[in-house]
Amino acid sequence: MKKKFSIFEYVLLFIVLFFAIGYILFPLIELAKESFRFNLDSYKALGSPTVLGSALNSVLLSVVTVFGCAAIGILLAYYFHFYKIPFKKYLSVIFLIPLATPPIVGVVSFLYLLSDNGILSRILFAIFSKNILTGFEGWTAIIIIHLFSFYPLFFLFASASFEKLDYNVIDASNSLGASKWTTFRKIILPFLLPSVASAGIITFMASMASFSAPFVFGGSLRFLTTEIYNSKINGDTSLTAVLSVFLTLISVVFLFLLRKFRTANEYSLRMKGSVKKIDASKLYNLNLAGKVLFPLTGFLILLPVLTLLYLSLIPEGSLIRNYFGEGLTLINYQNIFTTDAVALPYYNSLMMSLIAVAGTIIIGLPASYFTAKKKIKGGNILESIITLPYGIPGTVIAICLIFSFNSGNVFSFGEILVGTFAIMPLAYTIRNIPAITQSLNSGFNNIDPSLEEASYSLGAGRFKTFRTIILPLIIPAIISGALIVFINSFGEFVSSILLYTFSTKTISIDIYSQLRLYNTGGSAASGFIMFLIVLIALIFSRRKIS
Amino acid sequence: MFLEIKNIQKKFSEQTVLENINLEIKKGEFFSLLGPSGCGKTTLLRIISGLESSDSGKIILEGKDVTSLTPQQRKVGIVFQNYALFPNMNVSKNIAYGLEINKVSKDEINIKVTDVLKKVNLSHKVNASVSELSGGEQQRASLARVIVNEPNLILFDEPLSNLDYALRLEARGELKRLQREAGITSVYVTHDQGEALALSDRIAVMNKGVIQQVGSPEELYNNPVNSFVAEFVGHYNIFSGSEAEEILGITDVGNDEALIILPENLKINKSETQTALKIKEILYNGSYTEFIIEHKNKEIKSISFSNEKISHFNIDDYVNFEFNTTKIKLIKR
Ligand SMILES: Nc1ncnc2c1ncn2[C@@H]1O[C@H](COP(=O)(O)OP(=O)(O)O)[C@@H](O)[C@H]1O
Ligand SMILES: [Mg+2]
Repeated sequence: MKKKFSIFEYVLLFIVLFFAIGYILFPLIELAKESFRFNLDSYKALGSPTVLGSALNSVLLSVVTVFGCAAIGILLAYYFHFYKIPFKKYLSVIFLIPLATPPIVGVVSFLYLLSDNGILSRILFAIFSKNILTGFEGWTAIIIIHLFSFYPLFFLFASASFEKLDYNVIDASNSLGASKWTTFRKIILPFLLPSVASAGIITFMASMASFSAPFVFGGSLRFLTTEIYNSKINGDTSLTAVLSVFLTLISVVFLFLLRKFRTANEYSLRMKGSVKKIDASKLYNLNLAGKVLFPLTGFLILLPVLTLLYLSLIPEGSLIRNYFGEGLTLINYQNIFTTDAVALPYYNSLMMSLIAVAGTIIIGLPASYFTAKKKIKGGNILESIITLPYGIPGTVIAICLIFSFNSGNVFSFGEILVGTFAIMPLAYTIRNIPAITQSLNSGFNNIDPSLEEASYSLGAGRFKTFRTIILPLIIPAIISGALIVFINSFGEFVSSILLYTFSTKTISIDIYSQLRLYNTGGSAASGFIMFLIVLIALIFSRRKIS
Repeated sequence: MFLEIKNIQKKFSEQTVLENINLEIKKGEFFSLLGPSGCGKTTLLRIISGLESSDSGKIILEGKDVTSLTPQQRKVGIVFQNYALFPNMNVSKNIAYGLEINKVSKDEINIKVTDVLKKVNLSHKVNASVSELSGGEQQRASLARVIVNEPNLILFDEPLSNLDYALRLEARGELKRLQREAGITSVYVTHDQGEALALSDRIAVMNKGVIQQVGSPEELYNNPVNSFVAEFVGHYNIFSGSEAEEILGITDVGNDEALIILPENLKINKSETQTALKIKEILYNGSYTEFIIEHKNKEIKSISFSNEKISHFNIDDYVNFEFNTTKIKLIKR
């Protein structure tokens, strides 16, 4: 089959290349240029105690996060797969709740739950008449929030691996006299290793890029992301650029590690034949402690969001007056939609997310079509560029855009984008292109090439074949990818906080500023609404995938 | 000639997959490409259909050079190994697809679809989704999707290989009947010699991208031209000159020749004394029994039919061969 392009395909290819060059490569080049702008001296800052200290803190935090989350996630997945768990159906949903919690919502809910003025310390104070729970800040707070936010990834990855585990192997090990622990250590852990390693690398990158928790709870602690933000706010352009380059390099190294790992991994999974699933009668029984512990953990996972719900339902200020004395009210929710200043962020977030969804589809669908379906020459280079933003922290993406579009150029069609509405959905689009292309690539790869060939041989042209065969088959992947983009964009905080102006405030930014103004009820109500919307989108996307 | 394949050559990177292929296929003929997996059958079929391009050579269809035409211009029907039914359409939509592209009127499409579904025994599945069909039904639906367009040529790529054994035999007869009734010229790819022998008017035997022999099933079975065809099509016993002399007592086999004999033409007799031939395996098959006889490290096959009077044999029995010298043939090695 001769693989000639139609004019339409050339147009699409041009759009994809324009995006890849203009909004991914060009901004990174601008960043690099900025970091060398004065002279190499700006890199001397890397040796300063503040920079070294923040780098050290970021790495330390990430290492603790990875190992902590791995332990929690693998253990949960193991028990879920091999044991009878009370309320398993509900718990398996509850344990994924952190995925539906946008970063700033998680941070705010933990603040309202565990800080000195939080609900829990108030309850304890009411009971014991003294302050028992104090000092929820700094390392403790950040690590707890990180564990909460990132363990579900390990849980999901390990669960998916367990689904592929041949239960005959476990039976064989048991019949050879191995104890449960030996089987776990010698058979199960090595089996999980590839997927757990992937989860580890992803979590390390996410943790290095984490901004919200260090930003709100960091106090005097310095991390790379918050240092970039601070230097930007202080107008130290050269330090901002140098720190951004530094953080990007670290993340991109891990991104390449991840890619290497993934390809090796996919191959080994493909070699597997059919597997025997565990049958229900073989599930182990939990002891009493376990039977109590699992529902209790589920409740603990729910606590932050329950806190938000409760605080959103009590009148503003009752936090200070009398915590539990006043009746429930919907006034905080009413305020959101009656006060213009509050309703605007809702409009902004919704519009920006929808634009990002449209943008990622417009760029991602042809990109994926060329790389995964057509497998054009140089496709893997194009794919590497398109998915590069996955390895670039949101803070850095925002900085790159600021450096690139604070004056007009070809890629902004002569306009200054900094400070406009457009730059926010642009940032979301860039950040989410990798997610949607991943979904689309696997969608395209699942389409049997002979379907297309059958269509050609029945006399259909290329466009007809795309419209009647390929497009209908790729639509589920488009929808699930679009939902992921929506979820990520709707709750986006990290790059928004560097890019927003008063009129382009999003819900996340609004929650944060209300928090600073001690508007507990308002921020809790917004946080809860955001949680619900994301939760609904998440449920839809998981249903689509399965 | 209806279809001419001229000097087709194909390489994938450095690997030569098809070497100078020349074939002529007559109108209405059922023509098979037979060869082991990986010998290039699918590649040749794809070149005929236009899904793959050749490095050199020509495809001439009904006197017209179609080498540079796309698949949709050639309008050759293809039945794929995995059926390739469109999962986003139900059975009747799948079958109507080609007709719609050819702008056949709605009414006529309905008539033709109903008609072809009756032919392939799928009338009860008109509105079924593809995933509801069994393997055999999918195979028939994919065949219906092709013949409804009344193409001049149908290409089959191992269409029965995904069915289990009993179903495969049944589908084989069904397919032959449909092809004969429709009178459509067919090129049929398979690695199963039984299938090729049963279905074909003529067969081209391929190995490693080279055509070994072209002929009717009887010709290939009775007069293979080389040891590959003898082994692959007839499961002949093949002896080199020295082996023929040592085992069968036949001299004058040339250096570049081999002696071949069909298993059913090589009979065994029990020997009371020790000989160099010992029964290694006895495979009972209902209508016939196959004996594997060991001579040093060489295995020789002998077949006895159930209606032949033979004595009872056990494994490790010593035997002698008995054969009619008119049944042995000399071929190129
Ligand atoms: N697209 C391709 N790229 C590279 N090698 C191929 C491709 N298609 C087939 N081959 C190789 O060509 C040879 C013949 O393949 P094929 O025609 O599918 O054989 P058959 O159908 O007889 O089993 C095989 O060695 C196969 O690996
Ligand atoms: Mg093949």
